Amino acid sequence: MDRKNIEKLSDEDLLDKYKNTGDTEYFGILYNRYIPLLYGVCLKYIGDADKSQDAVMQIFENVFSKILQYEVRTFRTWVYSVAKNHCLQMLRKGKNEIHVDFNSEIMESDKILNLLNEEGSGEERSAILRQCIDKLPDKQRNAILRFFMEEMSYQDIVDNDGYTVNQVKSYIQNGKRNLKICIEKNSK
Amino acid sequence: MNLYQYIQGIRRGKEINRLEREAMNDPFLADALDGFDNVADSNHEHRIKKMRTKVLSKTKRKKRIIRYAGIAASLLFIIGIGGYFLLNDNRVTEKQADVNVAQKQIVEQETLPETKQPEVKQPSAKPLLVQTEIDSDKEQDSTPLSSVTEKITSRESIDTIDSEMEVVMEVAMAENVMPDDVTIIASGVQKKENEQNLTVKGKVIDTKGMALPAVAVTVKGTTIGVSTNEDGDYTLPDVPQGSVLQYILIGYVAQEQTAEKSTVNVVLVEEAKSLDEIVVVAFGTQKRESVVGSIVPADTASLAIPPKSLENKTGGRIANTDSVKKKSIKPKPAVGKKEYKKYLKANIVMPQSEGCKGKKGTVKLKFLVDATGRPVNIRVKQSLCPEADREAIRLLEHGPDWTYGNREVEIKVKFKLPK
Repeated sequence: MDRKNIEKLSDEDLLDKYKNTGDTEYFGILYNRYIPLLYGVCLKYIGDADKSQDAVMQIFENVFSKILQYEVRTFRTWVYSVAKNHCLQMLRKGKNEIHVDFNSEIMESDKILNLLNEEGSGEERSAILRQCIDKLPDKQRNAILRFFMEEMSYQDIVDNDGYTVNQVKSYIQNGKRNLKICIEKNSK
Repeated sequence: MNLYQYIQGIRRGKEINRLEREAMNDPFLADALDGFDNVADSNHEHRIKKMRTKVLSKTKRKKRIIRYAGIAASLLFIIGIGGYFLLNDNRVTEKQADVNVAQKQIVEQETLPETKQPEVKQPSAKPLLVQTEIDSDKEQDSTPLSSVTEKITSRESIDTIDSEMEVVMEVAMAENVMPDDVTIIASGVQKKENEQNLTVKGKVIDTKGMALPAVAVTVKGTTIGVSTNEDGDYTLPDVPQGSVLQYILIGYVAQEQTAEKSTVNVVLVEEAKSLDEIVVVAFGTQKRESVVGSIVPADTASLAIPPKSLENKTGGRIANTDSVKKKSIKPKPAVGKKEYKKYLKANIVMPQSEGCKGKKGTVKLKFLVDATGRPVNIRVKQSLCPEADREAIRLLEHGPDWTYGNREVEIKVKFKLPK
């Protein structure tokens, strides 16, 4: 097998190859792509490195034996939901506290991001955007500007302005929501 | 990729900012980042490396086994067909096995894009000459099929864009060397128009979700078929669309499915009858003229039924006789009982788990032996503790071959576990 060419293949191509040829190595390569992400997800829900490592391998065995039975369109989203379910189930069995996932609810559309990223998306719009940013509470405005304009990471902002990481995250999240409301109101 | 920087503990800089922004639109990534934030461990990178190596080795090893098992199964299947036709032919009395012509197709698969191999445009496979030689000792009572050596030599010309390719291959069953990317199938009827034919893949499982190996998957009304591998997977190439596929395994209710999609997964339901109530009726009738496939007259002594009475002498060799059910053959360890016990002693791993502590006793396993001499349908008859049961099954599954038989056997594995 030509390794270089395989690395370039998309997830779905790899999956097709595995389905068509039965060569499990294609699947191994595909799963390996997602190990860092899956491991991170398990760390989030399980909170223990050893157990997370086990979970990633269990998920592998699970997915490996089941993948051919399913019509998987997008491997990425599929494996994510499988992993999440697996970890949550593990927690339920162990009767541990379940970490509630707040983030997925607050996921915003990328509309605002585009507004903030793209320069010159219409004079009028950028004027509205500027107005709205000015109206934000100080901390939110500061965090938003640092994150989107100055391209600072959360940790950079912490270093600079002396908040905690969680504070920075919530300033940005709230700031984004307020911006969205403000822009929608003024655009009409 | 900046995710690796993040995993290494780097949280500053524009790269990380980009990653954090990406996470705002990607719950998967966001969860992962949260995870690496929550658990501080300098070893994350090392752990990821370890997992990757494990996954690769698992998928690589598996590959070889599947290929080997797949090819071995198809060869056995071919031989099986040969024997089948032979048994239905009263006129054939010659004792020395000789050669007939079987029609086979070689399906070339897996031509990777961007490789330097010349592109194959419609590999018009021509019928191949297949020689089957059966050497068998006349006096032997029960000869497993492993004494059959089969050589397949194929020459085939394929039209390529700029060159002509010649494929000569040899498959030797005794060796583990298997040609890559070649699937051999026996086909009763040579098809020239492949437009409406499908390659059907799938998995066969039981109602508990366990994979079922050695399920016969055939196209109804033809001799085209394969059996499932150890993972219950099968691939049946060149199936006319809309034809009916049959799934048959002793002890399960046979099933039929229409071949419309390229993936057909099947769940077989266990038959309510227990094993010993099943009567195996040997064979139906078939005229020689109607058979396209290999017809191999074989030495009758090579059949696994030692003749004791006149009835048994004809049993199985003449169409529609079913005296097979009267003769039961008990499988035995091919290496002998003593050696097998030695193997068990030498290879047993005493379980360490809580539930097994201080237990003493035997695990009894019941199973059948298939034509290749491997134990199948293993059941725990007497359990000690889950881990000991598993260990006993492992020993049996990975242990020496057995001689073929049509009856269930029982073995006992003794455990004395430390407190």
